[in-house]
Amino acid sequence: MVAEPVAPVVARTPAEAYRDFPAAEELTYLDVAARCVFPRCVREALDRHLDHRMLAGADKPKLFAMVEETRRRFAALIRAHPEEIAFTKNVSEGLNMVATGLDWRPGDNVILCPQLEHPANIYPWLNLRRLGIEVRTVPPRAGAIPVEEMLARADGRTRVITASSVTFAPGFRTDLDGLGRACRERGIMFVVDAAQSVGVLATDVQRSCIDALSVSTQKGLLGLYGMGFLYCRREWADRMQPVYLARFGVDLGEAHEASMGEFDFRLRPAALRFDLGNYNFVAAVAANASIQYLRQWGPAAVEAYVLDLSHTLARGLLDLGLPVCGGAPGAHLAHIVSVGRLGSGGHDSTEDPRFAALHKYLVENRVRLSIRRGILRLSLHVHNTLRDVERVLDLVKRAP
Amino acid sequence: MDWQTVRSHFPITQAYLFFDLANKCALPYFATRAIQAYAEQQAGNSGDKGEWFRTIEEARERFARLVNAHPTEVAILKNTSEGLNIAANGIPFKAGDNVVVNLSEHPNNIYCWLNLQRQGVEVRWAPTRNGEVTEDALAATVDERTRALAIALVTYAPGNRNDVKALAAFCRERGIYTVVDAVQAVGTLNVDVADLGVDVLATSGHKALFVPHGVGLFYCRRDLLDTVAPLYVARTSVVKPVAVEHDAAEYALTLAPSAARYEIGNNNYLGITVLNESLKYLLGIGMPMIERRMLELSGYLTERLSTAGFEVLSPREAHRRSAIVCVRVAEPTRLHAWLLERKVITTCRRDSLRLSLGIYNTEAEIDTFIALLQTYPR
Repeated sequence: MVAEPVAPVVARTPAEAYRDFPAAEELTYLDVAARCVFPRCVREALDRHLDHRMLAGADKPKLFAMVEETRRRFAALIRAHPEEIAFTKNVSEGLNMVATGLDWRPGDNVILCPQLEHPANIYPWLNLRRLGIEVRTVPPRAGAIPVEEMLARADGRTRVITASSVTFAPGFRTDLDGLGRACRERGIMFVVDAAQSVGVLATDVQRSCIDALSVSTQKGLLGLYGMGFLYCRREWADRMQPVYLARFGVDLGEAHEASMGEFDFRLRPAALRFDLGNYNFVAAVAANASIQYLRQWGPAAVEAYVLDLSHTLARGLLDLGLPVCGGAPGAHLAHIVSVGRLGSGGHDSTEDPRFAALHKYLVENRVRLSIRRGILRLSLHVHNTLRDVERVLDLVKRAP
Repeated sequence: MDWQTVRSHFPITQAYLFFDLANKCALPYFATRAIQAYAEQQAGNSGDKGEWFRTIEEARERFARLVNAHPTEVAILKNTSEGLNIAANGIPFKAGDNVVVNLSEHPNNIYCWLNLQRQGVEVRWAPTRNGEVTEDALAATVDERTRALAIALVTYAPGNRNDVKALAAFCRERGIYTVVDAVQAVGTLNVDVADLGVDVLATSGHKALFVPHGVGLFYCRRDLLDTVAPLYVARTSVVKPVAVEHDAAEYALTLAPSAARYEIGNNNYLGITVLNESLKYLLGIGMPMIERRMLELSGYLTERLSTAGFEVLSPREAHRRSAIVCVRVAEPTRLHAWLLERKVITTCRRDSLRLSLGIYNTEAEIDTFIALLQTYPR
């Protein structure tokens, strides 16, 4: 691994992070599973970048250096090699790149649990049916992605098993280590939609035997919409053929970006071949700052801090008699606490009047949360504190 | 038009002679204001997605107006490369078919086509003269297996304008798709997709549309939407909203009836917010007016350079010219660096110095530049 220096350890704990978030002064923000609020350092980085983009011109080498630094920082965050990281515009693009980049044969199959996947991790696979690929579906078990059932469906033609690290609803964790190890043993590519976890929960692509992982920057990574990362393990990526190809995906050595190599071109190593066209520099500036911000504590400390909050919140809501998805906090619980019955509404609505009323009451009291597929979803990150949790529990207690 | 007022909206003009719009824009005040407002919102309360969705539709409608398309023919992407790759993968090629490209294209309008070789698609090279692909050159390159022509409306160097209208008419008669890379034209020239008769057009926001990198625009003629099928799909590109207790069977891949079928996942809402402002600004001036001004300036620059004894590589005729003027010089990188030290921003491209103009440039700047150039120790 390339060692990426981390800012000197500040004598602070994640419990003090809320001071860095202007939104924390105004809101009880429990909605990072939808999108983040920025810490100040991200805004400051954006302001500096804007001054530069407004007043100075031709400094593209500096911008490219910043892009590469961002790539290294993200790689270090998930314990990958920088060459295993491509820049994307969002989770969907990364997953589509993987799904279309494999050498599929008719009769191959992919296994997933569509009832718990976000559409971003469903459509790219369904779209393979036109190639004669079978999409094998597995129902959830107790609201979670069922590792054993998925593996039981695998056979000699299974090329990919895909799962969310944390589902968008009800927000349970998937046993990535168990699923990843089993896939690795069988030579199956393990593809992870990590939209809901990276930045909040510790991600270790080596330990979890992850072969590809797609994430965007606007949630746990505390960045902007319009950018994401695709991790693709070198052993897979080097054999993959991107269907979309542009200059940055081609190995030209040190030539200029507008220069043309041989017509008989060579793809760049590993995941770099998936870089496509000009980068979203503004979003890269934001991610560059926010990843460095998160790394001051290290992923394990952030995860421990946030899980402590989510456990407290879940227990408190249960004590108040609310139907918390998954019941008592346990290994399934991530940074997302869900209340209600999954499936009793549309993608972002609920049919249950009780929860619609509670949602309204909380919003009126400056709590930000989401409704997803019928349930109230409360999601936490470093900007949250025990005070936020206590405030929500108090509001729930007093709700009409 | 009061071009001095326009100029005052671009702070770069206070610090530099900025002749580099063909590379990337320097952001005007209205762009940075929009970005700051957006960032403040996301820091304060995470922003309003409903508002962003409305902005997307406004921007889509405005871009359609800018290039004389219908909003249902416009997709908002991440860059030009994404659009060109959608075209390359969407056009129904069969093994043995061919596509015509040329050596004056930007590499991003070449690799997407070379990438089809592994499917048995042949890449043919149309001859060019000083960047231009003539109808004769095209006629000599195509055969009955030609399925597509990929061509720049304006080349990135020497900045000539191809006669895309004639080329597209030639292609249309033969059932050949015309795919246009318009990134060096949109925002400086009055691009009219209906008049040009092109099938697919791709461009990005970071040059003459004054948007930070990360926004691409894509036009696909309405009657081709069903033929040019997207290879990447997401919830945003299909018709049916997600069912609740969904299983795979409910995920019918019914593509959106419009060019929104090419849009996957969350978009660059910040970039599109700026795009919307820029389009409002440009439409406020009017593209015919902007084109007239750009050709006036590039004509003036060409004339002054020639008079000063420099060899201008870009065409002289107004209908072949663009907002780009390339000059042949012995060591372009040395001159480029020398100019940069003197607060003149240019670019080196293909053994020439490229000067690219924007609506904020003036004749007086060109005079200053020529005077400076004459002091360059050659």
